[in-house]
Amino acid sequence: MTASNLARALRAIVGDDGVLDGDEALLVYECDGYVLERGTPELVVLPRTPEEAARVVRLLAARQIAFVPRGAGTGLSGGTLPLDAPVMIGLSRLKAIETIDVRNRRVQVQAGVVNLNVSRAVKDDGLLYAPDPSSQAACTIGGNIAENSGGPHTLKYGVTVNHVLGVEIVLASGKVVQLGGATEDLPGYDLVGAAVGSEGTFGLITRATLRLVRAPQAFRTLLAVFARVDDASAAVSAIIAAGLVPAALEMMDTLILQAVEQAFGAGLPLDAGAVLLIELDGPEAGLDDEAALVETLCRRCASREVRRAASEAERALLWKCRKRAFGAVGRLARNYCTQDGVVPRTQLPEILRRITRTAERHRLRIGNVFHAGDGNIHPIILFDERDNDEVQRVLAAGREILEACVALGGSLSGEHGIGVEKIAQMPLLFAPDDLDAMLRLRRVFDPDQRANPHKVLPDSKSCIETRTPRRQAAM
Amino acid sequence: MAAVTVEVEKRLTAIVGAGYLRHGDDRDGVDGLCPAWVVSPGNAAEVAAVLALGADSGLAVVARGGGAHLDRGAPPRAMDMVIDMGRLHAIVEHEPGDMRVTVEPGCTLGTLEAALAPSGQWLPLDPAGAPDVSIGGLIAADLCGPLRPSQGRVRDLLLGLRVATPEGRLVSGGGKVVKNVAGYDLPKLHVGALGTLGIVVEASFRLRPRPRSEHALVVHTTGAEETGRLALDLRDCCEPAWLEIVGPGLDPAPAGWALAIGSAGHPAATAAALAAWQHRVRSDPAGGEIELHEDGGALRAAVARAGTVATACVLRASTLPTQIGALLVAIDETANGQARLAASITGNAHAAFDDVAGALRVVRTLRPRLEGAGGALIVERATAAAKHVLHPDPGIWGASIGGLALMQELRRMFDPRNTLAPGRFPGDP
Repeated sequence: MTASNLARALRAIVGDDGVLDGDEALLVYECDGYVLERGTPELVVLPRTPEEAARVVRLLAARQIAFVPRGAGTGLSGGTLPLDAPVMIGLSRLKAIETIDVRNRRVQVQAGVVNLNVSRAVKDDGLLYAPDPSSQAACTIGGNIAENSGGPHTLKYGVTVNHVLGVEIVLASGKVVQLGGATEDLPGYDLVGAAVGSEGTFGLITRATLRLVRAPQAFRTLLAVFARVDDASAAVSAIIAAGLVPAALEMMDTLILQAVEQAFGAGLPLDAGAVLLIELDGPEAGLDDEAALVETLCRRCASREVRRAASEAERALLWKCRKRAFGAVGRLARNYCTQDGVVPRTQLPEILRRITRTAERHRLRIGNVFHAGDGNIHPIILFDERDNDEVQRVLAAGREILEACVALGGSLSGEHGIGVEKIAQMPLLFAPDDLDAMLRLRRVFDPDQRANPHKVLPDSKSCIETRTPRRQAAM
Repeated sequence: MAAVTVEVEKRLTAIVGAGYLRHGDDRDGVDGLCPAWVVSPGNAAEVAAVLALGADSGLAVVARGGGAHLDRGAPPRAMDMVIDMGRLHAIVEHEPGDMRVTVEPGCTLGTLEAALAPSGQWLPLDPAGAPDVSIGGLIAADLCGPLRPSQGRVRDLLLGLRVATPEGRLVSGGGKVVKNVAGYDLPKLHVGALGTLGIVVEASFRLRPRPRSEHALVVHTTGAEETGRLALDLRDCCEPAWLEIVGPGLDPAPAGWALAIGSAGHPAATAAALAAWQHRVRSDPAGGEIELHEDGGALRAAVARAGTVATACVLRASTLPTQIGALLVAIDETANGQARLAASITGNAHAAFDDVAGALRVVRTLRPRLEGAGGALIVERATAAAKHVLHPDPGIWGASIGGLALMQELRRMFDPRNTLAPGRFPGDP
């Protein structure tokens, strides 16, 4: 079947405007938030309903054509880069919130619903959807499920998998399967738990049932200023050791502070080595007491100043600085890429020292803005993509940082996924038998590996390609 | 004794040593079956070697932790060998600063609790009879208790697993950090798998700080339906750490229906919660006498057992939180008042029966209704005699399980020779 025949057959399902195949139209789809590698599919198909999505997959199954799913394209590990997948299935038009059940705290949504829209839809009922990735104004629930996304508030509330009760998956065979559902404790293996974080390799997730939580009654949001990163790390440990579970515990270093201050003018200290953004939430009673304890602990760790957000506007401004830090970094350099390694919390000072050494060795500027309470680092490496030598140093530095995370007992990724970016490093973390078990799991869902091929698990193709970085990169 | 048997014994002895292999007897029965051998490996490599030998010899193998929950699932078709995990009982690593513990499956929750207490941390899983539950059993049977609505279940706290496979491999999944999306989440598959995908040899959990205070109320109520509604009203009034509904004949309110609700955390917050709930109860027609429990933890441990102890069987029904009151009424009526009932705010009810006839009637009558509404009704535990009545018709697990074909394929992929408790899991041949 020729490409134009395929496009015609797909248009019959999704409408004329639902298939993109011109070079210009496809340009938008050549990469996601991971910009170091690019590649366009032969065509992009945009179903309007979950049922159309299933028909699309059935059509592809009949022709044995591989596909790559895509939500909003905010992913940071290249999970939507098509590798041997001629067709990209974009789910952005599946944006219906189908049912809201306030009393049972459940919502059923289509995969293309934007994360923040879920919380907006239930705000007046005093509820929210807890996982809040920094890109929550754009990223979709389907993408969140594929990557098992986190966010600043996961320290207390958990990540996506803790809030997904059920998913509808269109397997690569075209069969539609309902896993889990609105009711908890259904018998059988936890296939929902396995499907969350499968990076589109189990099939196409078209619907999900999510758990909602009560919006906190009150907040205390603090900004603690430190001269040295090490002191900020010590404060993180002290807060945890005191038995507090802040809703969020985030760190930003000098470089990031300068970027966000330039962007938002929030009055952040430009001479600080690091600041901690600490949020406590819950019932009003006792909250002031806990905030005072946090303040004492920070001062004991040499914090020179602890500010408290005095109003909801001040709180919103601090969170805007944190959540838009990545974008603000755009002011400092033409390009940047971010890492997503995890270390045991007690190893934070050590990994930060290693990142500094890596930056010096490779003559790069690296800023840090990350989920300190979880030990989930996000070093942001600044570069100019026109400088090929610098790009190579960026890639080498990124690899070094991830290898250091694994060596310190951590992981390659806390919330962004493996995608293509970190696939070559998987053997650092997992033995061949571990990877073989994962491959078996993948084959349970997708025996022919037509759903997002060459992702997550290293195979001969993915490894050869990623070991030759920037194969199609815009240099 | 057949030559093949002699050969198996010889090889098992070579792996674990003569002192750690014995013939099965009455103590080792599962669902009326008695194993030929009970093997007690001393480390992970021995577990893998014993399991592989069993698989290669075409034996049926059942893993055993504390042994308290072996009556779960459908009866195995055969059981030639029990692998007792009791010798793997170490707390491998506890790093308080990382709020993480790595532990072997034979360790009990009680031992773990005692080891964690000095650091002010805990693993907040509180199933019935918690202190004696082994970590292996906790994972395999997916055990949890009243704290679940606020602290989550095993799946929410488990960070990583090391598992022995029927091919004799030791496979790791997940890790030791609290946030990790590298690779597929293999550990989740083993939670509640009743040992059918491999045998856990090591597990890492995230820990949480022990709350500074825990207080609770018992509220006596007028009936199941009203209790279910009041429970949700109290939840919406002020978020509890736990909230359980307990029917007549059970502690803490044997005379009638009651709910037990607890708050844990900062003393000012728990005091405020209790005050808010009392105020709410007093203005509600369903609310009766209120008892204050200063030791909320002790009450919680007592409530955890409600509805889980029976001489015949225990059923578990799953529905939406708003349906819990109606579900309890329906079970009570169908069982002619013969079931002891308890339920969690999450929408799960337990019904304990001393006479299997009532349980059979409940399963036949209510299972289709629950499944039709997206819920489930399973036989959670039963004596061998009761299972004989309940299985295969109407069956332990139920008829409508989403993704059953995938589950069967998963079982084939991970246990190709059907070595691990064959017949126990949904969809098993």
